[in-house]
Amino acid sequence: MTDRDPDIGAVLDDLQPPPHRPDFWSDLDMKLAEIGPLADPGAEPDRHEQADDLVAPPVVPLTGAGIEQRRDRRRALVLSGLVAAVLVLVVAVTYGIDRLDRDAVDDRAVATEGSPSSDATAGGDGADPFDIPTTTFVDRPVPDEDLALVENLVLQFLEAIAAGDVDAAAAFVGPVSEQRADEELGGLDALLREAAEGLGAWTAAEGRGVSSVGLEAGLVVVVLEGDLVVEGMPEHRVTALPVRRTESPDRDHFDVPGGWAVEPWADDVESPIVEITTPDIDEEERAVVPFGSIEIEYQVVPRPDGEEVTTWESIDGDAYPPVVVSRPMPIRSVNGAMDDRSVLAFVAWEQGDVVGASAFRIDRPG
Amino acid sequence: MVTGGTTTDEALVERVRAGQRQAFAELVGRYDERLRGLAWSMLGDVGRMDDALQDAYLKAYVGLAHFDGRSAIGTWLYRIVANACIDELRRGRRRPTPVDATDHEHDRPVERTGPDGLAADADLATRVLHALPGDQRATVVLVDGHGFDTRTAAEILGVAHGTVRSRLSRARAHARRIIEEEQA
Repeated sequence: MTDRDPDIGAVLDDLQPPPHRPDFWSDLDMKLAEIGPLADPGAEPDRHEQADDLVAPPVVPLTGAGIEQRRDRRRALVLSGLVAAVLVLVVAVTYGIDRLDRDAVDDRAVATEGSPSSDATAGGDGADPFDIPTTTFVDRPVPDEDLALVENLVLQFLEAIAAGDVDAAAAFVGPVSEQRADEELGGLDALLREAAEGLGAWTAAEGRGVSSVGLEAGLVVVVLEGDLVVEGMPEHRVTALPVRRTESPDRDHFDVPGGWAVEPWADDVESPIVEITTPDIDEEERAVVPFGSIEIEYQVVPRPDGEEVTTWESIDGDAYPPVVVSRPMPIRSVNGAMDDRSVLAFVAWEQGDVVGASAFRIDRPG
Repeated sequence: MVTGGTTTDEALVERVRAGQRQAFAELVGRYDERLRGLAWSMLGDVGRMDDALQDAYLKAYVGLAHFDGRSAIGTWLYRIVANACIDELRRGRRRPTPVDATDHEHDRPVERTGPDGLAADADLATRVLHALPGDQRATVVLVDGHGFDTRTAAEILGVAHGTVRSRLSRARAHARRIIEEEQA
């Protein structure tokens, strides 16, 4: 399948590359000789080899029996996740640990009522300012115990992908992503296998951090950050995975209140476009913001069906009030002060049943 | 996957890992024309193109020690070259020059006549790409120039699928304006 634009493609076809300079290959060979022969990858086991040791189980066909098996596994997986989440909460309460430092954030919000302020505006073409409430942060629409459950669910999802356990991984995928995978992306099982290198790489990420933010009842964004080694190339990455509580009949039997499911592929070619224009984010999902206010600007282009897009932005673990947009427009906001820390941020959006999020890290100048 | 007669890419990778350096040249040689096309479209200068490709091929050589074959070798090489080109654009080690499909002579700098550095005789493809920032340029070259679908382009560029779609949308809008102006 190609997404090629034929008109622009025809123009670009005119570009024919020139040959290399005459000494290109000899120069390269000399540099390769300086490096020397590659080390035997078997000599020093690394994470990739450990991953390779994992044997993918046979894929359960999507027959009635297979679906029933998958449902049973879903129940078992979610229950085990619930047990793990409860254990985490017990430990956290016992030792007074708030891993996400939410209490500290609350103190800051109360102590500086109105500042950091959320001064969002939307303009473009000289449009009227688009005011949003100036309250500090949105109330937490998702209980902490559910956030812990959701984070655990995402980690199990990634482990299953990395292990090549397509059936287990599929149990965590939400209905919108599942439908889109089957109808547009060559099938969920194939997509999950392909994701082993991408999403699956998070299981071996160096310094991996996991956090979550509840945006509204039934919608959480889980943010992962760390250094990935993708095919031997180390790269810093930040990614955001929407997780929704679904009312799909397929999950009615869950022994948890509702069924949380990851929606990694819930956007499609017709989805609204939400592009962050400020700050300037590099290919490692990092941005540098000087001391002073943190300004975030993003362009929103809704789908041309008239349905409104709801967007949220989150700084350092808290979400600012949502903005509802019904036509293309930029959203600009000033979110408190950049101090001596680095912070995680994301912009999320929802339009109907499609949902997406983009995360990045903001650093102060070196 | 390129099989190259009886030798598969995977077999070449194993030979490189076994210490056969010439196997690496054979491996990248299979993709070099397409990768040159990518680098040329991105950078538009023979010297910068070769610098970026040398950097990329050296990284690929070192990275082969850990290449586990989960993605196609061609996709993996595209990714390394695309990143090398973006790095090269950011570094700006030489003056920025536009891509020019007609300039195939080595060591002949592209003539610059305007404040934007665009060659006087630059063709339409050159003007389209020259007008785009590096990330948008890479995206439109991969999808509209080399025919990758947007999800593969996202994998190559190491960014989210939505990011590729938004970059592509902006790049195409800009490109269409230039093309329409040309046709008018």
